[in-house]
Amino acid sequence: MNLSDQDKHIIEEPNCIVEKPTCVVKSLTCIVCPKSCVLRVEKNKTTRTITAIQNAKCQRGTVWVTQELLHPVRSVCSSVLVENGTEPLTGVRTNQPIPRDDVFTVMEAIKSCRVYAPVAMGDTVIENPGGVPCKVIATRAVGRKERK
Amino acid sequence: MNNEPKFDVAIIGAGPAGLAAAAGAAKASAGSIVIIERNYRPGGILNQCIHDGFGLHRYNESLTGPEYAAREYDILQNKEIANKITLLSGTFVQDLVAEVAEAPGNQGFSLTVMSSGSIKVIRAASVVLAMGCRERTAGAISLPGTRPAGIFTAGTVQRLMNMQNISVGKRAVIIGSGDIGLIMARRLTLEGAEVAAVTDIQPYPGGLDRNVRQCLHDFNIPLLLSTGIVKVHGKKRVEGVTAAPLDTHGKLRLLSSTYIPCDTIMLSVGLIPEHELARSVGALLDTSTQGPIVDQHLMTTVPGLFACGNVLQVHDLVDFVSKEAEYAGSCAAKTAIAPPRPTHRLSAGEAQVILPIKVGSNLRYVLPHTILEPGRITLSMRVTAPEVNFRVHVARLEKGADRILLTKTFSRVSPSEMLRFTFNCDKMEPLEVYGESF
Repeated sequence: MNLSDQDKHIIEEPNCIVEKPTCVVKSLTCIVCPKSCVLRVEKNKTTRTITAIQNAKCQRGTVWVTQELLHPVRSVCSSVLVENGTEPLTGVRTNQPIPRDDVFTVMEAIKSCRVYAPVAMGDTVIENPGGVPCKVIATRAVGRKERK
Repeated sequence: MNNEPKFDVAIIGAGPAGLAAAAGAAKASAGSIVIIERNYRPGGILNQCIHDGFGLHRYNESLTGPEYAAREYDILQNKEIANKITLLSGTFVQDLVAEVAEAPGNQGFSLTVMSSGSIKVIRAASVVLAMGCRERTAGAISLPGTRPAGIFTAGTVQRLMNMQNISVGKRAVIIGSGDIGLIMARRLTLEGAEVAAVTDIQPYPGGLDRNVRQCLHDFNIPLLLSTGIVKVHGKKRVEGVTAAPLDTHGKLRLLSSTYIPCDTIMLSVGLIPEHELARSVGALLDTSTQGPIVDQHLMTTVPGLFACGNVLQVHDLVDFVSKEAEYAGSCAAKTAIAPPRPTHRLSAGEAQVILPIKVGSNLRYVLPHTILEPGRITLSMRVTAPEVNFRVHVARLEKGADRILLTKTFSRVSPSEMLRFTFNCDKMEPLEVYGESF
């Protein structure tokens, strides 16, 4: 786990990339939890595989950084229009992280969607938004507007 | 005056701090608790924070704000404690007065509360302040230039977009890189607006690193650090801003300034605890946190008045707000039901010993401010600048060998993160908490 002196700045500076003859050394800020570990990752240039991961304070960081470099995923949180509700919007999120490249596809589906009050927390609002395999679920309860 | 209903504990605010304080008070056997909330629904700011990342410590999963609030509210629905708690929503505390105790153990507060169509007085043996904080505005940072439409604080934009379905603009510049600003940069981008840049006068981001990564880097939003605002342009509506890098003395380098066209300016330049009520009842404030001065039980300088959450200190994570508030609530309950409080435990003529915790080098503030008795103390603090390999020492104030009582090591610290750890105080002596890099 000892780093050579010339590599030391990599752990101190997040999001820095150093090119070496055989490999690329990257430092990435882990986003799994608020600790924000700065992980140092070595990726082989020819085989495009990860050869070393350092500085992760927990196993989740190691798993995350592998995922992040090979196939990054994100949760999407947004809001959806509510018809006839006590509030005009409910919050929504994807029930699982989705590929980062699909974020805007899911957002398009969320934007063109509207639901009818009442909405309960956890209600499925959209199944497979834009063809991306996940569910968009409501995160805020909205009651029905009383007719007067 | 004594005909009004008297509660053991009154909690002002039903945000994350108020809800957890109520749970803490109920678990510590308070018989009757009232929560006074200005909004019509509990949850406070969490209701508009529709992004995820809440509850990673407390619930071990990544919840959105409304989901976190619902969990906290569900705790209060537990049948053992639900009947002790009254939630007054749509109600505003107009006035808070500490009553003069006629006899020891009979101390209390009277609160003048207003709701639609009524004004009444509520009495309580102890009060927990849990009102959170306000955002600093364009005026607070003396933003230079004109004052056209289109200048918002980040929290206002968040409320407009996430609660009221109002879009604020098409191209924004975000001044200040606090967490809400970063989150809203992502939110604007997802909703189809463009974020031209996020600027900060500090050489490091104001928000958590993970938010810089997932909110800015993911969407290629430029972060201009060590950059100040020279001027806001526009007469009726914002037309742009001129930004310039700062030199090493913190002066704007006007020759290298750039004009960034935009129709919206969003400010994310810090929060100020909502301390008016604390001040009006005579609690002393800390000039650094701008929240009240508290002892190890989170009691302010007014006996029976407690503070927790962002009104006490601006937190980075809601999980810590909940933890702190539970403790404040339980202390408030103990004070209410067993009134010989520390101050009254002494015989007549004996002075209460209050020992200070001094804020040492490299730290902006340390909480609590004072110690009354030996026991486990949760210390929370923020550093003045980002450091790698940092140590915090808890030491005797008196200089000499063996003065260090506890040392905590951190691989990276930043002013955007609150440091929190417990310290076992076995002996009453004045302390100093200080940091150093190694």
